Amino acid sequence: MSSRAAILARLRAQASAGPSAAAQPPYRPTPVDDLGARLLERAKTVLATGEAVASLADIPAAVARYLASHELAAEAAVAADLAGLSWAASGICVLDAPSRRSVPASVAFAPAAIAETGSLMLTSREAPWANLLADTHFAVVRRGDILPSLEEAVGRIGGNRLPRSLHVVTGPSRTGDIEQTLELGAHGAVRLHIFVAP
Amino acid sequence: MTALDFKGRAARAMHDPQLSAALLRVKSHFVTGRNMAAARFADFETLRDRAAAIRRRSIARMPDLLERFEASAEAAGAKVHWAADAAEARSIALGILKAAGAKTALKSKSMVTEEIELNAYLEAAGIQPIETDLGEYIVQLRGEKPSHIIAPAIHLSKQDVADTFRSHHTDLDPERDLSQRNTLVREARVKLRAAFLSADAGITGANMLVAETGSIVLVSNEGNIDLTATAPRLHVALVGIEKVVETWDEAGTILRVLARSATGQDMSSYVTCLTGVAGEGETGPKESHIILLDNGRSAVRDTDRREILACIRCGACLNHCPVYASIGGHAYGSIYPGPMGSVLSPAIDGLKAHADLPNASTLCGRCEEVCPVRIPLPKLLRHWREDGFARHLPPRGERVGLGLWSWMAGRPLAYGLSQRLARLGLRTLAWMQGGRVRRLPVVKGFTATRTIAPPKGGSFQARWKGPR
Repeated sequence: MSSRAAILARLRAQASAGPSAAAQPPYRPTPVDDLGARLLERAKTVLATGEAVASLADIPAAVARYLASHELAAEAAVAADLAGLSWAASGICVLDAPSRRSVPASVAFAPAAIAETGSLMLTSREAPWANLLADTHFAVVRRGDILPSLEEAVGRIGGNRLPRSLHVVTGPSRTGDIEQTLELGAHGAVRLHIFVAP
Repeated sequence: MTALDFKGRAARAMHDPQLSAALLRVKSHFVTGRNMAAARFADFETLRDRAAAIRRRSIARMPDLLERFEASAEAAGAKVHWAADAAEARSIALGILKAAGAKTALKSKSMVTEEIELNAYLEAAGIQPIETDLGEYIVQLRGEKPSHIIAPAIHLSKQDVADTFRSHHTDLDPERDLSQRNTLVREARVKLRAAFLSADAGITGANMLVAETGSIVLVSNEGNIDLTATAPRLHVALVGIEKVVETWDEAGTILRVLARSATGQDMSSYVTCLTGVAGEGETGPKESHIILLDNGRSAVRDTDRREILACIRCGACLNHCPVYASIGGHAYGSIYPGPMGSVLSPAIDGLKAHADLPNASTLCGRCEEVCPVRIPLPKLLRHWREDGFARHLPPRGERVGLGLWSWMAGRPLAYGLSQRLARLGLRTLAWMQGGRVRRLPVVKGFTATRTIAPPKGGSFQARWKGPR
């Protein structure tokens, strides 16, 4: 008998394995009026930063301001669907971002975000590589793509079929592995800045 | 690591000042963090009730959910394997890696791969496993085992880490400054980044299997799992069969209690959800395998200890355990330390291998108080103690003593007499030793660090009967 058959047969033979508790109602966070504000407020509690912008056109200048205020080079890899913004006019040098290369900064859409926890949802459909490998990650999320909870974001992105990977990112990368003391930038982003766009 | 000399290891650990300092941080960081996170959530107790019900429902329906998981995962392009024990899981994993021609394998932190001792097995077969969680990376370099299920290097100081990096990262300037924690984190980031971009395979565990979509869910704070599971061309996940839940709604509730109970975060920094293989135009591996491991789990489901299968490995019971706080993780002699480990390890390796562990607890009950899925750990530990006693596992002296006690406790006359003698004996000893009992005969250890006041008045029973 294969291990599969043996394991399943043993489990099925265990009539005593306890009564099945009733299915639980799904948890949903208390509704809020402004999901964008909630997202940014929650993101700040996990050491991300963020701002609402009036239009996508405001983003290059905002990126330039952020990089300057952190004394970082005015350069970033930019996702194809944001490449048309006026980066050069804001003094940002757009980096060529081959798919498997670390970049100092990256700007890309997050296809969904979660207001409850201040999280972004990245997926394998948009090649989340640059964002996972960048020191500074600028995420752009449209108001309509901000969902109240993780479950609703999975439902929105999933549709008929889930992407191969979903990455729910809540704040910059961190570790407490040395003396239980928080340090940012273990493997993923050292800094995370969110733009909420219309 | 042998499990046979628990008492010796525990005694050594208690006299290790560096370990004691490290373990104090468990209390100041994890315990405080968990309490604050629970308080921030509007109704954490109700959330725990829901999580507890979800896990019990999953265990009750395990065979159906596993079959549903398998069907959904395979429909999405993953291959599901079943392993009865550690040896079978190791050999399936090696077979997959060999068939793909993998020479290096990234690893995210996984208790199941520690349980089956996968790293040593892969190394012997010529495949280099690279631990990518910072804590695991440090203990791998040192040739040690993790000492906590979510904080593997908790027993080490930053000086230990600096020394380890200096002796292993020999390509770097030996005189470099490694006195700051962020310098150490940065050095590991740079070292491992190169590995992420070149390794042939990624090996992970899983925090949950979601049956409805065939997805596996993992949590991390560093982001190393996202890279481990998506950068290489091949992904292999090793998962205990108890980790299955039915729906995303259920998974969401478990995630809410998991991070709060583990590190005091509302949500882990990275939640990684993997479904099948990368399709056209998607980033990620085109080959993905999920190895479902039994290794004693189905057997424990048929006992009164089955609730341990509800465990979500948050580590809260370790963090709140006075015994763990005194001796740390290594002394347990099992890869799963603390209260959950003392219940689970005998189920995996047999009680004989871990006969002392069910006794490595004061049964104070703090573990049950904080367990996010309300596992009655003290009760389950007592079940193992009963098993051990029935199988004559405790030493002869202990068994004879307990037998004597049991005989007397059932006979009021004998019991009363013994109490009278004990009172008389203690008073005499106190009189001889200057007012307090300073040295007890036979049980010398009891008075090694304390003195006892002589008993006053009659017995408790006499006082209970008399005027109150």
